[in-house]
Amino acid sequence: MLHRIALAVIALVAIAGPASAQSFDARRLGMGGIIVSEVTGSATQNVAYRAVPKPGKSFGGYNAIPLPLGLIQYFANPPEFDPDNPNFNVFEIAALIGRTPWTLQLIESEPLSSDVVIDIAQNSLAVDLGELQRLFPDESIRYGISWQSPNFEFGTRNVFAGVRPQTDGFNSLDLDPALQQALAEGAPFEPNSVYGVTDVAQGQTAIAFTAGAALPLVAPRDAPEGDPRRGGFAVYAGARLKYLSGVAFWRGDAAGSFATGDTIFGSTTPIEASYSADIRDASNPKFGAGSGTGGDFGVAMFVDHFEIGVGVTDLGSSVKWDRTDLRRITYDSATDENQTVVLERDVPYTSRYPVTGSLNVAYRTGHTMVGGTLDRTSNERWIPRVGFETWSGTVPVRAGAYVDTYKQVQFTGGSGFKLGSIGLDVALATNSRGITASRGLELAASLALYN
Amino acid sequence: MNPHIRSPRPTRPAPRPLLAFALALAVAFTAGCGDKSLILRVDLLSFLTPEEQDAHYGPVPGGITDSVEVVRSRRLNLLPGLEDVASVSDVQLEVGAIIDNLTGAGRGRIGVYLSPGGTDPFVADTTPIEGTFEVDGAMSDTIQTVHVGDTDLAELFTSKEAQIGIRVVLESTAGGPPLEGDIRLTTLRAVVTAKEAVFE
Repeated sequence: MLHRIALAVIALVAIAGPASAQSFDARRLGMGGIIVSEVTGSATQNVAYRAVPKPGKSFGGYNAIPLPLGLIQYFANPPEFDPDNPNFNVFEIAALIGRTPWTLQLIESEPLSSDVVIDIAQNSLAVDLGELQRLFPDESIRYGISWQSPNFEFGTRNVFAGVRPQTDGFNSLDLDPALQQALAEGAPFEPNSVYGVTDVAQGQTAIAFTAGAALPLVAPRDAPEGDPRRGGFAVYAGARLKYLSGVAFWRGDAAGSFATGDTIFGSTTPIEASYSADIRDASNPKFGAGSGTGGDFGVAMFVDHFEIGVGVTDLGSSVKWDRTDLRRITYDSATDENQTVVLERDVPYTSRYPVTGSLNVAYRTGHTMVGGTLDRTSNERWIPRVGFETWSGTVPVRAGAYVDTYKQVQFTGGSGFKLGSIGLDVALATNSRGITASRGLELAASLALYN
Repeated sequence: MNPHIRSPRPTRPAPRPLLAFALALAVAFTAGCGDKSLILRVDLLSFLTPEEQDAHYGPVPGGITDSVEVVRSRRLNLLPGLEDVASVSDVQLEVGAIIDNLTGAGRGRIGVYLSPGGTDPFVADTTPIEGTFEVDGAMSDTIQTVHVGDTDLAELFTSKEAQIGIRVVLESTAGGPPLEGDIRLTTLRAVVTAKEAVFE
């Protein structure tokens, strides 16, 4: 029972996806999650922003401390973890994994709800999943996380060094066209047909020791008080090089299929199922189990109130693991046997980190800023974002939108206040995390320590 | 024994991996989906051989009651594991047949007997699902009956196998020519409505 529940949680999380499209900073979230030079964490995604001067009073530069509102909700109403308890609900566990601890769910999105109809005849099988068909899009079902915090970085604006964990995980599930149509469109399973699925999953973690530089290629010209956001022209570039000390690695490449016979439910032509998975992992996970290098690179340009930035992280980042084992696990219904064979033992293997990045554009006038960002995520999705912020005295008004990984538009908005060098930002954001087509609403808040 | 009864072919159990796959998929996705249902529509007729779908009756002399076994105690393979993961809330059984009477007059009823696997449905099921008809001379008649709300059937369809038997009982009108004709099953379908129970 427990492992069935664990499998269900994993499956649901893989389908539902994590809260990867969210920003923890309420100011940034209120603007649709766009990147601009003055928001917290911009230098993490575009290292060139380290060299950009702190903004003046018109565009407050700050450090954000997100408030963990989600933890309050969790402790106020924790889910039941005991599967024997009648209140246990596997969907709540999956939803918990998909949430962030930083946001308070004000309105839960409605889970997809639909009757599931299975039509069975001797030579026919059709499964109509109703609204749930959208869970099987005509493309890879991808899930990915990248975790690079806390990022301890020390130095000046122009030269710096640091250390941080570097963990990533992804899963990519592909149904072959026949199976995809059977699940997504209710197409009947046909006799004498093969239905297949492939899955690639990988997880790895390393400690990254970083050193870098960010410099003005063209120092601010005609910029009021040296702030290129307010006008003039400037160009910055930066690079952050990484030495990666590998700690743990796991990768699985799996393929499964089943074939129908002359008659789908005939007695002489039974369903033939097979499964094969190649599992490779580091033989002895520990600090220094592998080593590698990589880098983050970025460019930012300011032209007459316009800001354009391009940041690429983990370009060429890879780890060569000193010793890995490779096992092949197979199952064949003809023999009804599971077999595990060790194919390689203690062999070197090189893994790569996914390249992520962002392209962002912003325009500022007076106390108002509008911008847009195109994010490339670790699960190889493009997330477009637009956002807006205007200040009236010490009170900002923000709005934004982005297209999530299910290609659904999400909306955000926010406000706050600034008292001297301290401020409070709040944001409301819709989301469609989980197995849902509707939007929920969540609240984020963060303290802002202005420069 | 009536010499005109055709012997059913040996039973052919349906292999179940694809059914199990479909069930697992359906249960996984109905779990937590609110007040929604898993609906299985099983065309039982398609699992019968052509010989099991047709039967000849008679000649039954006037004033005599006789019977024909259209399907003789056939095993039905249902969904394995259904009782573990779903609670059946309703079972509907639809039965349809066409009677082509050649001679004679009389009344008849077609009975569908369902019982737990390994038992004789004609013995174990004392309340068969029945549809009636009347014929008079050369004519055709159609039977269409829908049976709902049977708690015994709900329990039966959560088990992994069941037995089915179909029998036609004929009462030939006294004083007339012998009752004789053909009966052909046109519909035999079960609709099982279940709620997931695996994560409750």
